[in-house]
Amino acid sequence: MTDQRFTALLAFIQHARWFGGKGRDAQVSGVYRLGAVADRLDPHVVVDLVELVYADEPTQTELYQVPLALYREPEPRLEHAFVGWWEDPELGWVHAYDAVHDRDAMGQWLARFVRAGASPEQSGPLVFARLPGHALAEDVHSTLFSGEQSNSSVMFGEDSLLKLFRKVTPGANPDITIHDALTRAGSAHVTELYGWVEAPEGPLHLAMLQQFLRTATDGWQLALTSVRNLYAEADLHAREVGGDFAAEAARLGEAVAEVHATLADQFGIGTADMAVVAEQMTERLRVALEVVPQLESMADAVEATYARLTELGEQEVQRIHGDLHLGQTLRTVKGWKVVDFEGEPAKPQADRKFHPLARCRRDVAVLRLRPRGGHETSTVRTTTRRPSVVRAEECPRATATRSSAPMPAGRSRSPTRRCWRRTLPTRRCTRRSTRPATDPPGWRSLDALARLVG
Amino acid sequence: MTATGEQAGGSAPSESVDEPEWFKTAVFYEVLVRSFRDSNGDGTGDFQGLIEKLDYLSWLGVDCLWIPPFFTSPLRDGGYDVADYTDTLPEAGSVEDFRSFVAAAHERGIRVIIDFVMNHTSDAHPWFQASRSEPEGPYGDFYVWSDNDELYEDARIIFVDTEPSNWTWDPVRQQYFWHRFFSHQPDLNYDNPRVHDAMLEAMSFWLDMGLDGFRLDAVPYLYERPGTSGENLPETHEFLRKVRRFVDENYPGRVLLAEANQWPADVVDYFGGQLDESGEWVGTECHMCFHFPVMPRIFMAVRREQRYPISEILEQTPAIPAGCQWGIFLRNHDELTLEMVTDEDRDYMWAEYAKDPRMKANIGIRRRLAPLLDNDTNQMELFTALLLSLPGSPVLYYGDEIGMGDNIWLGDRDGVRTPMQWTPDRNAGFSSANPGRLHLPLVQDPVFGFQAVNVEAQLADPSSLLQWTRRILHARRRHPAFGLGDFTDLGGSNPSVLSFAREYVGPDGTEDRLLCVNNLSRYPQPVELDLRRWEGRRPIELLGGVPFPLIGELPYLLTLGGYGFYWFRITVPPGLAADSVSGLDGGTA
Repeated sequence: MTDQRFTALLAFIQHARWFGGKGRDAQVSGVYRLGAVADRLDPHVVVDLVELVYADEPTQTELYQVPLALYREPEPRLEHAFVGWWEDPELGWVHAYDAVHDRDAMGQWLARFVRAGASPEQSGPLVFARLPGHALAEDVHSTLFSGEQSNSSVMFGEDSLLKLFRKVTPGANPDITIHDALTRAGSAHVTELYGWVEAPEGPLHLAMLQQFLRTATDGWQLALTSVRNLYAEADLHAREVGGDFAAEAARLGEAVAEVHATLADQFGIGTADMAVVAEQMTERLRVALEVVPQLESMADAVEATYARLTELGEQEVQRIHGDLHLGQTLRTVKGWKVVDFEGEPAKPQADRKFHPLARCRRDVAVLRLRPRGGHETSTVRTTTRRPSVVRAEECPRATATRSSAPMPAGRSRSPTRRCWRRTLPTRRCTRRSTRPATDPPGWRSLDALARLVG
Repeated sequence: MTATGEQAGGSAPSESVDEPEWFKTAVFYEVLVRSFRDSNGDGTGDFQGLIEKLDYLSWLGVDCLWIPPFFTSPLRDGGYDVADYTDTLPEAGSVEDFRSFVAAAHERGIRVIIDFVMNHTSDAHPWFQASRSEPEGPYGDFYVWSDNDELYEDARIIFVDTEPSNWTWDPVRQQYFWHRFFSHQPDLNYDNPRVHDAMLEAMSFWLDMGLDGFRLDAVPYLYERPGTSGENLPETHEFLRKVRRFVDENYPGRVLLAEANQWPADVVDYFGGQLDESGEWVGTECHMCFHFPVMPRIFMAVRREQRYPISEILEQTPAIPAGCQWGIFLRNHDELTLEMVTDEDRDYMWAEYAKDPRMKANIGIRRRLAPLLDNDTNQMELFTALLLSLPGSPVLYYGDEIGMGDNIWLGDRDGVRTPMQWTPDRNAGFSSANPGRLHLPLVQDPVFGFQAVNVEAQLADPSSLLQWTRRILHARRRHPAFGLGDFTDLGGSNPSVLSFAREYVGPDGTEDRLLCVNNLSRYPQPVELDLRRWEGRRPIELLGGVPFPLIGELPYLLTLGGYGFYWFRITVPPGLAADSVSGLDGGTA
């Protein structure tokens, strides 16, 4: 019965952690089988795409990837991963389990990667591709990584990590294309890409296989240890307490600079007309105005700030990380790694290719190391030329104004830079103000914006 | 050339021959003979006094004593300025006293190594006196002489606080002499084969008494060549191979421990790894080398509350040949040396651990462990637990087992060399001499003074640092993996927690698998560990024997108190066949 299958899949997706449409009324409008991972039974491991349509937006559909392990008899050991039982169009009555929980099923995925070698391996419509240079560990167990939000990650022993995209969009996934380019260029500051899976039509990227870093810690967690230290010594400045993050921040800055320089090498440097960029930003402001009426009083000033961008004319732009924050960095025993090049997930893929802001190459990344509501401990500014660390004491004012605080001498002469330093926080505050008014970033952003343009 | 292999005393170290790799599982204890126990009331510790205290050291659970120099010396560098390689300082006792001491230690199963200063002598050594007054005589070429002070100018100056140059003018010989350390310590000339013979002869003198080995002082500097830093030269390694061959042939089972204060990648050369006939990579120079950078990194990691300073240096530590072992330490008789950290890290260490400028010495910090750690017992226990569980043989420093303090008002590094504090009585039970006669004054401050910190009080107190140290040493002794096992950094979700595995599979197939988890933060911390390698096994806490939950597929959650640590042994539950346990790769054999 198709209905039974659709109902079970819908319930499964709606209760999954990675489901993006929580709280919205959705229906399954179609299920497409991309193919089987291996020609085997019990489990028969397939990749299905489930198409959802939402009641509040009936013209749009979303595709979710659901890899399934299909068994003819119930598998009690996988009870926690049970999706449903139904009459499968190919196999008849089956018991379906979420494949990422099943070591036998994931073993079939790994076996395909091992077989793929250096040339793409095709069996049915699923293509497994490998990069040269790493011999995959074979006889290792898979373990589902428990911390994931929007995707599912599976570790293979201590060798590799499979990241399975859940919500998929046709076209190349930038996480794969960028990791591919950076890995081939030998970048020391990304996790090496070992391979990926795609469906040939499109192409449609489904999953990527990466280096597993056993000793890694989330950069955000690491920064928090430093902040904890600072708070414990309330009367001391950041550089006086043992846990000062400045040295780590400098190393992180070097890592980001290297990655961005390599991205410029690999993807080239383009130009963008700032007038067009200003127009796009103004367009977003109009959207925000509909949601946040309080913006009205500041809209003219914000627009004027954006308009000043137009004076910059054509600017060099390059591909950058696009969603860089400390949660996208890993500290390992071999230094910092920058991860997750998907860009801001809420944006359509086309927008992510060049940063929509076309940020100047002069100032490609600014990372602020600041816990929620806390004082900034360090700021990392990274250009393609050199990174620098500015400590909290050197720019002690509130968040919004900090970005326009004087830089050390000799650094603020450029009119381009001055213009950006005013524009970026304005844009950020405008964007954040559209979040629900109960959300602190929402109302704080309004205050900050008022100071910026006031 | 020398008397070889003859056992002059009755203290044949037969175990050294039976167990040639004894040093890999040994816990070393550095003891300054002049500061440990004075048996004759002259104010200076001596070998008879050391014999009196051997039962204490045996009770504590150390395996090998390291005795810094006690040779005849003008004592301008703590005895490292040797004026006679085969005689002792009279106040420390006679050569016969030393012989009795070695025998008494061996009776208790404790081995003994002594310092041997190869690079230089005192300017009071008869060889130097002969060399300066009789340039054409038999010792004329024993030292490095030059008509000008420009040769070897690429060699750095080590004691930057006191020495402007590595050359000093000798008004007698009317030439400059070369010295890498103090200007009263001329470097021996290793280009002269007679110097080799003289040194091997001096080593035999002590090995014949049954001594178990030498710590070779300042080995990287033996040779000098123009246009080089004068460190780690190939000729230096060639000479060390000669020493090793000499020891292996005549005194098998004795150990050579190199002090080469260099980066691990350079230090590893002092093991002299070479492929033998069977294709195994074996050491041909020193059996052991000190791993210098580990120590400052432990301090940095705890101060920063994150594991990366330690994890990184261990990641950068190269593999070492078979039959070799690192020596690691927290503190010793020298300053806490910061040569092997970056400038930035050195500034950091000075700022954090040497707040008073008097605490600095050369490029380091002259303090004992307890004052460095603000006398915090929890930190002292954590540091000791790290020292005893990281790869390498640990070297304890006398007095740190009771948390002794230092005296930064004494000159040079004497502040960390004050007499051992045995009792709260006169002279801390160290000596019956007039207190003014002691060779160094006792620590008297209200926190660390001997009335507050002494062995007698801590022996009577079951929860003292001393009793804890003894318990942990005895726990370590039961597990060969601490000395022999592989090391694997386990990472983990929390950067403030350092977790690692030590795994050893013996020749008979018995497994010893240990998990060590250390909270480097002053606050309680949770950590989720990826222990899939041991799925289905059960950790049992080593000190209390409490079984912890079975390791499953999910991350293993542990919580630790501030500066807390756990040592677990990883066991296979009964009824679970070993081959059904995943991750049992046996790759450590």
